[in-house]
Amino acid sequence: MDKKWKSICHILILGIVVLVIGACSSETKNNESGQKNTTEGSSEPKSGGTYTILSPADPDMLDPHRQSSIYTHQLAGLVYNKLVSYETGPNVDYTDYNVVPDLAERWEVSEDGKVYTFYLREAYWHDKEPVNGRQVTADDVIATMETIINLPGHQASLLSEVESITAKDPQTVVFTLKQPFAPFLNFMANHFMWILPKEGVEGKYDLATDAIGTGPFVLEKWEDNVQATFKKNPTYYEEGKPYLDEVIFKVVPDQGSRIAAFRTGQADTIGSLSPEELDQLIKTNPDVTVFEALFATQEQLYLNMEKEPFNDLKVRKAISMAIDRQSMVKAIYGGGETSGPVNPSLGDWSLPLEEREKLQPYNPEEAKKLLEEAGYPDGFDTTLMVTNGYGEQLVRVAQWIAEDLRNIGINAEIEVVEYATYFSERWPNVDYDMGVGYQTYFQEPDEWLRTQLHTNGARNWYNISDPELDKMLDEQRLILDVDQRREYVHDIQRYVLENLVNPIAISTYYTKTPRQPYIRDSYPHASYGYGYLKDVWLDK
Amino acid sequence: MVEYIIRRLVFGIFVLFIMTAFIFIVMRAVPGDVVTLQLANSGATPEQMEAMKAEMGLDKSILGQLTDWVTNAVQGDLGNSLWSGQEVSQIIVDRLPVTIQLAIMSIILAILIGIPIGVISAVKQNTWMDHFLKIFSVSGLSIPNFWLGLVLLTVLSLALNWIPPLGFQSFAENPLVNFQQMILPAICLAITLSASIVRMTRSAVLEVLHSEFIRTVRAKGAKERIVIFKHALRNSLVSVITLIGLQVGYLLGGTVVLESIFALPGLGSLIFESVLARDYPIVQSAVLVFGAMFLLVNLIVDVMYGWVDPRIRTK
Repeated sequence: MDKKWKSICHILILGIVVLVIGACSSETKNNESGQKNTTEGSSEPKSGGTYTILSPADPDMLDPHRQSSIYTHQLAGLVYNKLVSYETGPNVDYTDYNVVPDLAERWEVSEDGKVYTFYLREAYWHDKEPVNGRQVTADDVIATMETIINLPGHQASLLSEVESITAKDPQTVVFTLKQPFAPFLNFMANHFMWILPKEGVEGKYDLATDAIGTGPFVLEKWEDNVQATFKKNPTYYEEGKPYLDEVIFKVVPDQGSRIAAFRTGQADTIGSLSPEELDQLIKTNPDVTVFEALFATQEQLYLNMEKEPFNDLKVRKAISMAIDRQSMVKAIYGGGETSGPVNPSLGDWSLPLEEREKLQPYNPEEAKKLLEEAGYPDGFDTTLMVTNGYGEQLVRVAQWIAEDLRNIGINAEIEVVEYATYFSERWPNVDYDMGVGYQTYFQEPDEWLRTQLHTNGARNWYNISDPELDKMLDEQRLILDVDQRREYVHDIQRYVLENLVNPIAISTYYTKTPRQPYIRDSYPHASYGYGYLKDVWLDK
Repeated sequence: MVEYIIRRLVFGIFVLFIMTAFIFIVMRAVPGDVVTLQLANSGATPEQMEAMKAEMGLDKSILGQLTDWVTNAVQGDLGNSLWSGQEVSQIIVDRLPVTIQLAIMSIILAILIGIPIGVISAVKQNTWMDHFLKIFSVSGLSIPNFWLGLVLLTVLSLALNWIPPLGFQSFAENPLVNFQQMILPAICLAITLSASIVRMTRSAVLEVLHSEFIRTVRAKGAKERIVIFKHALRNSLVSVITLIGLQVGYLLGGTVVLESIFALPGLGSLIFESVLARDYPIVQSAVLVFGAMFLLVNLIVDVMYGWVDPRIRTK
């Protein structure tokens, strides 16, 4: 090809590319007001309709005790119930963790805090083979709990303090604990505690591919990696609910495709969006409602305490002080809060916002002084591990942190690691200097604190060992009075921010989830499970 | 001919074996394993993890695992998924048709677009038409097809407020929905493929048009249409078909990303998910199937030479 033509071709191609890109970003000129939170009308709920949710991935299996994946547990919330659950409703915050009756109509706790008696309500299993809609009994509960204890994994540790489980009569289950255990009720409301029919536990049908529960919706069909279809449960224990005839999950791995589907009305809700994506969506769909909530976890900057200089408290404090959390969360996530050892998504178990900000100030000058006192007047060189498996935003957080650290003389080279390597080799084996990541969605202050910070904590992947802290962490488990325990949990967090400073909580951002404008009475909760769809109805 | 095909098949099996062994070792050399991925999150004890690894056969040496796997695979047992426990052969049987349909649609589209454009380019060499079509083929080659897919979806949703219906349905279930779901990814794949077909057709046809025998054909007074389609194009097809055979490899690679974008439950998206999840048996088997498809297509291509060009048949 002669040269002149070659260059003309190139220019033309460039022109076409620019035109196409331009076409996607110019869009319509709607005013940008759009954002409103759920202020639902108080009109009478209408029955009927299909609710479609798009999900980036399908569960590997439906068995909720063998799987810790959020995709399994979100679906489990439609089919199953727990003995107790977390309250949802118009006057309940996304982050309020109020334990309320579910399959257990009521419960009693003995004086010494060691015996919990649950009285089951009259509830019926879904009318599917081989359970055929029979009534729920104490035997189902006991069989389920035994499975939970015997399977490998985190769920067993939730019941580690349980000594025995017995049936007093067909409708009454008694849990006896080894010692008083404050997190017990919260653990019973945890998403691992879905109650299964005895037939399922005994292997009379395959729990991995079928689900028979007591929940508001009945699993009709699960097509692997395509969609899961749920129909209204006519025998659900709450009279008149659910309102929806059908809930459908469709697997759409690509975020752009999910947004396109929402835009064209093929979905009622999709996962949370970045501020840029949301702005684009509001331009074409100005009447979309946006649900804002604190993210169920936080970005953490964690340090390997067995390595120099991170074994020095002054260095850790200097690092924490060098980070401009406020500007970072605003720039990268569009808004959020300074986080703390217990994530603010756990409501008042976390320290109040003012205190979190006061105890973790942004002060590069002071940080430099601390480094000098620690013997690093010129800073030092280190590495900062991050994975791209959680998406682009976390990598940007790492870049932001590296930049802030450079201001106080610490030169952190960013190392981007593929997710499976990150999660199965590097982080759990404490094979890093510094790392940035999201913690898992813990549901109990005990998990946020003891699991991560105790010398024997299942998730102490930081080489933390502080005997005094261990003692406090063990003690808070024994305080049964909720207010007292909350005070003590706050004290532990103050101690952590003063004497440990690892893992350094950065921020908890606001997730923004779009919803179609006709969705009514949708009150999601920070815990796993789509059970709250029992209240949802469509105003169209 | 039969002897030739058998020889090729035997050689193909050897190639597949080398490929499988290679993937097997590479997958295990990559850090991270499925047991830690599943259980690290939940704080299982090291003993529990070891027990689970033993249960999955991951505690043996790589060579031992390879021998086990090949022995079973030869007997038709591809193992079970390390995550869901489903039979791998069943998963592949479920998902393969989607990818095959996508590949066939793309190839047909690419031929329908590529060959006419290539012929026109050659016949109208160095006219404005030729240059315009050159732009098409260069863009087709240089635009990544996953990007094209994303742009297509975004533009459609904005301009027409329409995208293909979600929730995959097979051709047998609902041909109309299936067509809507398949056509966009097929177009994306076809554009890249057709671009190379255009270039190959153009140069091959040009070469033939300049050869002696075409002059003879023209001299005996044949119509231009006959000169081009019966003589020039037919003589160029061998190289075009070879190209298509080789490009099937790229096509299968393209399905990996496009199936994810368009939410199609095919073999491509399966490989993608399984590599991330370190689900070794699925990755090995799916790569094996892709490899077998590639070899088979090229075998068919070789056989087709004889059909296209009788001279090869008689040799």
